Amino acid sequence: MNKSGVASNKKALIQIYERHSPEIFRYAYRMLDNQELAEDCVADTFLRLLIAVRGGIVAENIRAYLYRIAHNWIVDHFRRQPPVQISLDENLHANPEGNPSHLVTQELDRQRIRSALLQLSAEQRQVIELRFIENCSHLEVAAAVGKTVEATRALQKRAVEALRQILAE
Amino acid sequence: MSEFENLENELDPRLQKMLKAYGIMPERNPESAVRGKERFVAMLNMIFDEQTSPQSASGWFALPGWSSILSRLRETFASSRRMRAILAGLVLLILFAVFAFGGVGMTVYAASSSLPGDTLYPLKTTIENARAGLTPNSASRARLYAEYAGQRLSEIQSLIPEGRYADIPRATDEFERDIQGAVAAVESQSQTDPARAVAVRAEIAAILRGYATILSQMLAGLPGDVQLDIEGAINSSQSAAELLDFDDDFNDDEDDAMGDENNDAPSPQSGSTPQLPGSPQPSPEASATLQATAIFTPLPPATELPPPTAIPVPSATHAVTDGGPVVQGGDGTCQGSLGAVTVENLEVPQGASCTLDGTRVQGNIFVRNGAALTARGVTVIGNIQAEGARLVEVLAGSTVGGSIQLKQGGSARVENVSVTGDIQFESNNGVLSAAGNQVGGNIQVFQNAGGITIANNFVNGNLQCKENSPAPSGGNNTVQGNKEDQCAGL
Repeated sequence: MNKSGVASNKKALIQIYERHSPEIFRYAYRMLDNQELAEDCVADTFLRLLIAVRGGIVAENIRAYLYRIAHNWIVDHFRRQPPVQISLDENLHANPEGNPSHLVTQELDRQRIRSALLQLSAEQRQVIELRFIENCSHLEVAAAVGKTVEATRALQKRAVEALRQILAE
Repeated sequence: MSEFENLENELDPRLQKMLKAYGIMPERNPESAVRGKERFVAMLNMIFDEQTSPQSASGWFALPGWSSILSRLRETFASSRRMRAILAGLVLLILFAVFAFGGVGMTVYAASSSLPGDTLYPLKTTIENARAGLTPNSASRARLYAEYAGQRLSEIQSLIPEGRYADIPRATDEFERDIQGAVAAVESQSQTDPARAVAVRAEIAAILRGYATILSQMLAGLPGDVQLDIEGAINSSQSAAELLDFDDDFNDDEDDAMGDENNDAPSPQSGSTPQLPGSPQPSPEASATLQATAIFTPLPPATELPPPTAIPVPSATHAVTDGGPVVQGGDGTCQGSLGAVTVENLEVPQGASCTLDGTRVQGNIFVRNGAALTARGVTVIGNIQAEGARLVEVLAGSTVGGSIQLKQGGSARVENVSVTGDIQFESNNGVLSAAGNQVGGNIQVFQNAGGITIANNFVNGNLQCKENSPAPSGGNNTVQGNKEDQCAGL
């Protein structure tokens, strides 16, 4: 590859980092419940992207690809070290300019849904996170979880039903 | 009426509101974000600048260039745990590149003595896999994998006195993967050079029995869950040895002309980085090494294969593929090894052995009487069904859209698999294992006679066990429904 090609690739990769690292961080943080671990996940995810690019692997859907790598990282992390069920630091979520009662309600909702999500399977939770929180398309979710769009839709349906049931209990 | 209305797939307003609240995140620490980007850019520059630097004129992976990168990286990334982790990742890239692309003289310093749980351990296994993948001779590859399995035992022996029990499952996982690699290589050898394969079979089988003995001696004094892991490795080792013995007898009757040495089996390892749609084809050199030994025989369109029974199979779609070539012509039979290809239905014929690695099956897999299937990293949209099979292994990284139904056969392992439907073991007489799986339906274990371990599964439905002798063992299963009868305590 000549120098101009390398420069162009580098620029594109930096743009990819700038565009996607915040959402990968959010995703990792929600799953891991730990800022430092989430930063580790982001760093490793993008390192793997560089390795993949260096190896000639070009992802068709870069966003889904990054979510998939990040998810694998998180699953590996939990396999080695079961998650500690601790609450998110409420101070991190408090908006000092917000209405206090609204913030309390919001925080209660957040804790309730988080508790419910933790009861879903990893795959169901991943679909809910990607589809309804990160607003990924069905195609992106399918690519991220490694299933067909049809299978992903079915998985989403079961996940929503399960979530609804847990919350209704 | 519930506060959560049932609106099928759509989110009702209350749920939507809660998810919205959940989606609100704290601001990412700006300093961390800036440092993260700096590290990314630094890594990018290191890698891409070296690509065009004059000193790498003999190739990207000439040692002097990478050594200089390493020195610079050490200076840049040695200040914290996270920095060191990033450095380890880059070292992995560099060493993998050196091994994979022919660089010589690199010292595999700290990685070679690393243990599971150490930062550099992935580097060690990656290098091993690269070496195995680049070893074209099946017998040499089988011995290499057996050697790697032996190293796993040494690692376990080092972890125990340090009390690092949490890292032992990683070692046993790798151990089992290495065993599978050895078996797959022997199978490949059997097809290309059956005469010499007899000796290799006996050699590897003896080594595996020895490993089982060594592992048995480690059991005393270990915590219960670690014992389960070790026992799983013992079972794997013994089963693989038995399989090699069995195949030795069986292959006496097989047709010897099954292919040539150039069509060798792929490495059982698929890297941690997924291959996505649009990926380029491997280089000719890599293709020569990684080409599958698939004896893939297209079946006539009017197949006699039965329809799926548990879960309806969705219509085939190629919206998401694993990047492998799509085998045209739909259904087929598998004898030997099949890599990252896409097929419709797949049959392992009576008495045959089939190894799948990264294969995508749009329909079902059927394993016939006396046949053996080892599937790793496969995606099966429908079911995996076996009746009278001598061995069925569905292993890590596999996804089954329907159910896994294994009846009246020998040994079977379903481990670290995502199964949308059920896992069913019924009337089998060999050693069985269901461990580390995510199961959307039930695990049902009825009337099996060879012993079964059921451990570390997540089961959305019920865990049901009846009339098995001996009774199932294991534990640490998370079951959303009920744990019933013989499995009540698991």
